[in-house]
Amino acid sequence: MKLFTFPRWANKTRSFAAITLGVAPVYLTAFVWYGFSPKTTDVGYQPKQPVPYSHALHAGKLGIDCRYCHNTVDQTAHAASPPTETCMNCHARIWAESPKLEPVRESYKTGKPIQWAKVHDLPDYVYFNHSAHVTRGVGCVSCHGRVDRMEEVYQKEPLSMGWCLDCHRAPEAALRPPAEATNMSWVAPSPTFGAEFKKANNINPPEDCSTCHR
Amino acid sequence: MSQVKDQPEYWRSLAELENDPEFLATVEREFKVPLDEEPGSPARRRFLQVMGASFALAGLSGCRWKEDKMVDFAKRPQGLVPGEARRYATTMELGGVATGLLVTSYDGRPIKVEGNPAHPASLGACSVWHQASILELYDPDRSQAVLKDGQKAEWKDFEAAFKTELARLKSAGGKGLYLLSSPSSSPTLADLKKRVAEKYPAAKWLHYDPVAPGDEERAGTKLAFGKPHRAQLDCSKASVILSLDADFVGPAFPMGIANARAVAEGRNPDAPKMNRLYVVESAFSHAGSIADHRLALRSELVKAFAAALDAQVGAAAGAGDAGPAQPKPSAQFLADPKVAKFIEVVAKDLVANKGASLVVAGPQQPPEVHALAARLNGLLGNAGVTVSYAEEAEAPGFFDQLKELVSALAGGQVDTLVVIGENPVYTAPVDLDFAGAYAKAKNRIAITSYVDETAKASTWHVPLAHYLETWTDTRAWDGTIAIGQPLIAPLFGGKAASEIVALLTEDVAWAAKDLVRRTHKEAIQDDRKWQKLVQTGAAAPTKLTGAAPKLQPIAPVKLEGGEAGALDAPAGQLEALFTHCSKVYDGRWANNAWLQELPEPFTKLTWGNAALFAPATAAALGVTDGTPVRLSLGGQSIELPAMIAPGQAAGSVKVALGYGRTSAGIVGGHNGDVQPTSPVGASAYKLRSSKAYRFGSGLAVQGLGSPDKLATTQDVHAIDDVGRKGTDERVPMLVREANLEEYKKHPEFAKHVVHHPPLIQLWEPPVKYDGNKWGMAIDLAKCIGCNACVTACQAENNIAVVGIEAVKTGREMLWLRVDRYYSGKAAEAGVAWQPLPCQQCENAPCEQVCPVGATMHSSEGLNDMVYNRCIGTRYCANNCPYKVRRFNYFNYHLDKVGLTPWHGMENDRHRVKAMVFNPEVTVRARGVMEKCTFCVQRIQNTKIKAKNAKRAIKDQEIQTACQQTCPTAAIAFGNLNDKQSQVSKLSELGRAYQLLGELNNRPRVSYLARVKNPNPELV
Amino acid sequence: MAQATMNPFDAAPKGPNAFAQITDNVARVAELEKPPRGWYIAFGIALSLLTVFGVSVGWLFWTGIGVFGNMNPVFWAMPIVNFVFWVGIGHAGTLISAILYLLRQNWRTAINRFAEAMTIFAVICAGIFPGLHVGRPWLPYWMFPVPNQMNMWPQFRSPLEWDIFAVGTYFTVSTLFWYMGMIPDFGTFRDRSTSKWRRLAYGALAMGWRGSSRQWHRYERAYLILAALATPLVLSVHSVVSFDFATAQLPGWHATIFPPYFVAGAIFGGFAMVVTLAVPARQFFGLKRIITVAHLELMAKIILATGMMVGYAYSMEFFVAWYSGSDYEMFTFVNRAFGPYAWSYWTMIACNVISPQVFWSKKMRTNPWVILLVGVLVNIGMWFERFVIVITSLSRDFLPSSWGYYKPTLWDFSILAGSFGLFFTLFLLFCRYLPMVAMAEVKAFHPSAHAHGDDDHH
Repeated sequence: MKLFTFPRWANKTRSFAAITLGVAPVYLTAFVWYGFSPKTTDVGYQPKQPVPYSHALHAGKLGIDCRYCHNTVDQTAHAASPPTETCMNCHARIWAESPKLEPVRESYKTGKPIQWAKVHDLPDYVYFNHSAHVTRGVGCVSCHGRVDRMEEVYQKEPLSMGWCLDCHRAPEAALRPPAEATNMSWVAPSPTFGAEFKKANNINPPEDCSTCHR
Repeated sequence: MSQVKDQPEYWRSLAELENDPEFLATVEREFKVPLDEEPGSPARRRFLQVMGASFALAGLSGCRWKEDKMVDFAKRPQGLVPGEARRYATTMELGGVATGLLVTSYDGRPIKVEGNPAHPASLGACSVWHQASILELYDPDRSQAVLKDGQKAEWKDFEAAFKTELARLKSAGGKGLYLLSSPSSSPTLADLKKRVAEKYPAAKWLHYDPVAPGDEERAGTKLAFGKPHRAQLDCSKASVILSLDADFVGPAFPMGIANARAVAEGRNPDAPKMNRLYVVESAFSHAGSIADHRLALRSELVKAFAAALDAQVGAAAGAGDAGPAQPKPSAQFLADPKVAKFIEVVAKDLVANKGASLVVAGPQQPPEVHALAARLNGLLGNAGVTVSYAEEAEAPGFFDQLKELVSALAGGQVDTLVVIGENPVYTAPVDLDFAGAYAKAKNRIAITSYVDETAKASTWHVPLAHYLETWTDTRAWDGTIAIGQPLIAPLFGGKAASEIVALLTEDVAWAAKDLVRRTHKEAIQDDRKWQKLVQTGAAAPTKLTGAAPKLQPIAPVKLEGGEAGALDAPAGQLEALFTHCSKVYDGRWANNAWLQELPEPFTKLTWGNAALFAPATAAALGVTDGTPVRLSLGGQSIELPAMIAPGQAAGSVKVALGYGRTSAGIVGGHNGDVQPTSPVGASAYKLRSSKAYRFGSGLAVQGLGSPDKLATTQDVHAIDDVGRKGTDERVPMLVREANLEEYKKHPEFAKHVVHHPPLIQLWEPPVKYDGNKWGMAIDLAKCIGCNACVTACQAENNIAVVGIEAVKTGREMLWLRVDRYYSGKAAEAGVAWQPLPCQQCENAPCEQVCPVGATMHSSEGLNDMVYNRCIGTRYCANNCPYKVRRFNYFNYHLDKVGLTPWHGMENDRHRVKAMVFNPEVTVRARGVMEKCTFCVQRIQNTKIKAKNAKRAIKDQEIQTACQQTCPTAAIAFGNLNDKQSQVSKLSELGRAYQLLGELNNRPRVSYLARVKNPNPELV
Repeated sequence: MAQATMNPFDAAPKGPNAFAQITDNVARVAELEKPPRGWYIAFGIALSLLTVFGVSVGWLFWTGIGVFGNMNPVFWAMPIVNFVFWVGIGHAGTLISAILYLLRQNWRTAINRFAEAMTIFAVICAGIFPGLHVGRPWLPYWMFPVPNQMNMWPQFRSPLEWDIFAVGTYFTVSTLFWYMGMIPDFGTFRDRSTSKWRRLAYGALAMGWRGSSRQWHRYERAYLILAALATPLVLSVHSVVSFDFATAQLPGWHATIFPPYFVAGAIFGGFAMVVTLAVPARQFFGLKRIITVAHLELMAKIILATGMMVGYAYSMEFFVAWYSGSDYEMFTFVNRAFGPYAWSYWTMIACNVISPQVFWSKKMRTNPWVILLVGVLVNIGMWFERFVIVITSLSRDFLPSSWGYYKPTLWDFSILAGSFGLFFTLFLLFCRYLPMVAMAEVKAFHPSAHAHGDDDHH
């Protein structure tokens, strides 16, 4: 009986198979590495806000200090979002009739809070403390980016664990005089400032698990 | 749960606290739900990120989990900092005994109860009951509606109906109006009581609590002094203490916590003088567990013992003008050489320490014993030194008051009966047939926090507000006044007792706040003073002034029936001993899962009660652990599992009250229509009678077949000879113990109990610990095994309740356990406690075996446990020599009742329960390992605060939850690098040793060896 | 071995067309229109057990690890017992193929093929259990060193991490080895096959094998290299598995004897499983003349020898426990033999130490059915060995307060049974569709393969 023979090209499949077998794991690794990272999934997140509040205008043009609204940032873990009252301090008079501000006035009247969409949202098992960073001289801009240039706030940094660790291991770049914490446009007087400041105030960010996870 | 669904308005009432309609929003934001359920959970993130990634590769991005909302107040209340814990002083009362508390609150949500250091009955510590009361606050089973004949009604309906009825009663001078409420020290209620008496002269206001202390003492002191008094102990001045069946360091005893603190301080072997503690009792108590000498006597024999002692002391000390000493009573057991010797030695020791000794009588002992105790203290010159007296008002005992009520009911003299905060239908002794009599009253109004047995049998029911939901005021046993402020508005629209009573006396409805303020008129004159009183939670100058009553001659005690019996009681004539439960008290906390699952200190039994037998008695009856037995007494009988309790007096059978509830709630058992559950344990009230109220003889026991498995957390498996031998060899190495003389001779003895090769490190430890170095020291000489630390830990760290089946399987969750080891011969066994938190080893076996690095060593020497990194291989737990790690075999935080595992947290029952979670601690879900972390959340927050303020952390500034609540201050925590810190000093002591230190794990917990101070003449 | 010179193929077909007959014997099985009824029955049973496995795993993932009987302090229980059991089984194959090959134990050729198959299927079963028994089965990928946003790596100090690599490597190499060995036979199958699909399938598997001397030359070379690679793995994999216990601090686990003890045990159990499979297989598929009684006898001798080694290890453990002077160590072993779990200990002794002793008698070790019986007993015994090590040690460790008594649940057993379902399903499919005996190799050592015909002196 006649022997069954594969066509000649079939020989190529062998080397092809070999290559796929070799490349597949590498591809998979790369996929997980890149694809699963918040760099990919979270950066640029910009939810719709109930009120078209412009940080660019308030923090940027008008130069209102971050702490005017987020006033607990240097005392506590939470950087509280402002109560409606705070808005009305000004908007009782300025733009008092603007339809855009209707939700704000509504909230002030009824006492029902405005439901802002959370942009920078860490998992609940991560215990980040704003005061610990701000009082130590880490500026808002380091994690939130140039909010003073954002019409609507979006997530600038990945806020991933690796990203946190990078800074905890080498905080120099992020350090500045605590007084300048909210200054978005602050630039280090000297390239060595961070290192000196770190030394002077002996800032040694811990890398223990329990620093952030409890 | 449907009830909750019908009325979401409790959210609104919650909000009323800060007068903010959307308060809930902030509260919700604070909710922590298990990893798997929460938006950021690894599972969820992973899934969505895969999607995100695939989109990303397709050029899209920004796909993530569901949008979270930021919701702050529209108007933020003055001084409230979102997300910051605040602490408020308040006070809680139990059986008329008050304790001052500090309650931690997050964004208006109380989550943790602590003792109030400014309050004399607390001194900063508190009991399991205080700790667990926070869970009751958020119990969705609490009554949520006014009921008329079991049908839902409105508050105004009740108000109207009640008013009309009151008008009628008023015209009758209050004839036919009866009130029954818990004994209370509240000045406001006292004031209201006066007003009621004025307005309704013929009305009667009675008090009942099935286990409250005090009434026997009143009668007893009346015998001794002619007038009823209350004894106030000062154990710190006593160097010899004799307890006559009194657990005077236990949480149920008036000022028990303060006594415990004082006694513990007196038991410091490193101090020049160490006190000595004699305890005569029927069943092991906390006092008995730390006694230097303990005589196990049936409770019924204590009277004769006291008389014999008085005879002995009288002979030695001379009776003076206090009348003749007792004639030596003729009781068989006194002939026993052991007993005789004991009496002789104790008497000698008491007399030798005149003016520095103390005799305490147990609240459940008959008046004669209290009279004799008072007399002995008088003769020994202790009055005014170790014990002082304050005069009390004449009042019959609680039992007699209940009896009076029942006969009135039976006689049809009761038109309207208002029951406040008690549950007599369940708690009344069986032979009174309260339920039967109760039905005879026309209007039966039950003001209770649950729709309990009494509420079910009533025409009207009004939810009673939780003590954290309303204004109250109390007087501690020593008279200190405390104001209780609400932490939260009534979740379920409950009313305060005072508010209900005010309906009788006032024409318009009064708020509890105003009633309290009215009572303390003079205090509120000065607003700053009032503020201070409310803030500190204790008014110093309000102590009851000590009276100096004169002793009167006491007639020779009469001994009936068993009271003159022999050391052992004949079978069929056993003594039945009814005690409050160290967990659910009299049953009022049957629906409190924390308390139900708490291991009973001695038996380690959870979820139920048992009949405790002395080993000898058990052997005679042929019963053993878990054997179901029928207990019969006076024609009544109940069925319970038997348990062998070393140290129990022969012939005495102890049964805890408070179980077998049929209308407690889903946890404790109820026969309602929504998810009915069977009762937990069996009710001993069905056995309790007028004749055998606290205890009584004539109990017959009958075994009913082979043993069942009990839900205990220690000795879970019937121990075989190999195991018993192994245990006996180990215990001396684990709990190291010595007598005072031995200790003085060899102060380092504890370090030489175990011989092992030198412990050397193979390499330099990677961590240097140059900053903080956290450590703990636990003094075994001080621990009384009260469990307060265990519940405190559970409350602080969001530890799940796993339920009886899981406990039976051996899956208990409690991080901190108090190991109990019996020593010596079963009959006069001793007991030793060993609180066992994570030892935070420096060479931690758990750390190196975790494949994903979910448990790592911190730079300060903690074994950090990272729940969100844990994949649950459980290797760490295998390798932990202390077995302190706990595993979530299921998603235990789910409300399993009627829910399938895949139900989320999104059901109303859970939304209420979730409010108790501590937002500073991750709530663990299924499949992760968890363990004690030395309350790392407290450490971190204090560190940050200190750093922000650029200051160092002070010693004692950080307290672990267990340490903070410990009545005897047996636990010390702090920085070992600070040589001045308390924990360093203690760890330096000669008697400090490390558990299993020979394994070279380098545990960070030091145990201070137990040192006893026995009387040489008795050893 | 003394028997190195004897040739167990005497019983094999003789005469001019002996090779054809061998080929026929083996290939016939795969070419039958319908396999023997026995195969169908066995396959039916295996398949239903596999279903049980699927259901159990589904329920496990749905509700949580709590469906098992694991508790404190017995945090590891039957899933781990099963894991070690299967890994142990997965030894004989590569041992026979590699080590015996290097030792020129020619008789191995009759059994190495399905011994290897058995190895691979056993390792598959083993590999599943660690995945099943973790608390959060959707996360074990964290154990693989993949760069990630957390900057987190696995913890390489953990023996579990070593397992991943040890078992992973072992599986890969044995699969390669197995497949490589089959290539010539695939060629044969391809050439004999009549239907288009069979040709295509076997043809693809044969990777263009033509039996040219060049191909043979390379084949031999590759086979030798793989054998050399596989040999250390046979020893390493179970040594590493034993580290899971040996590196722990637990009395009863913390023992330096574990690596050799586990390897010996694994070979012991592995061969037991081989005979358990070989005896019925030669029965059903008429391979009596290829897998001869002589083969079985040789294996019986190995079982006897390794059985004695295991017995030695058992006694040595007791000696060391006493010699160490550690109270905890001593207690653990007394507790093993006389504590609540004594029944499991004595089952183990009876099966592993006593039952193989029958092989001292020639009559017994040449009776296939006795060999089968002992094989089954030894498998049971080896399962209990792991049970004893894992559970009795954990149930009573240092602090009496935390002692407990573990009871398996229904799910523990259903998963164990299910894993057998998986194993036999795979194995029966193998018997039906793949060359069960290495024809090429058998021929190579067949008397007819030698210059001077049919006598067997060398």
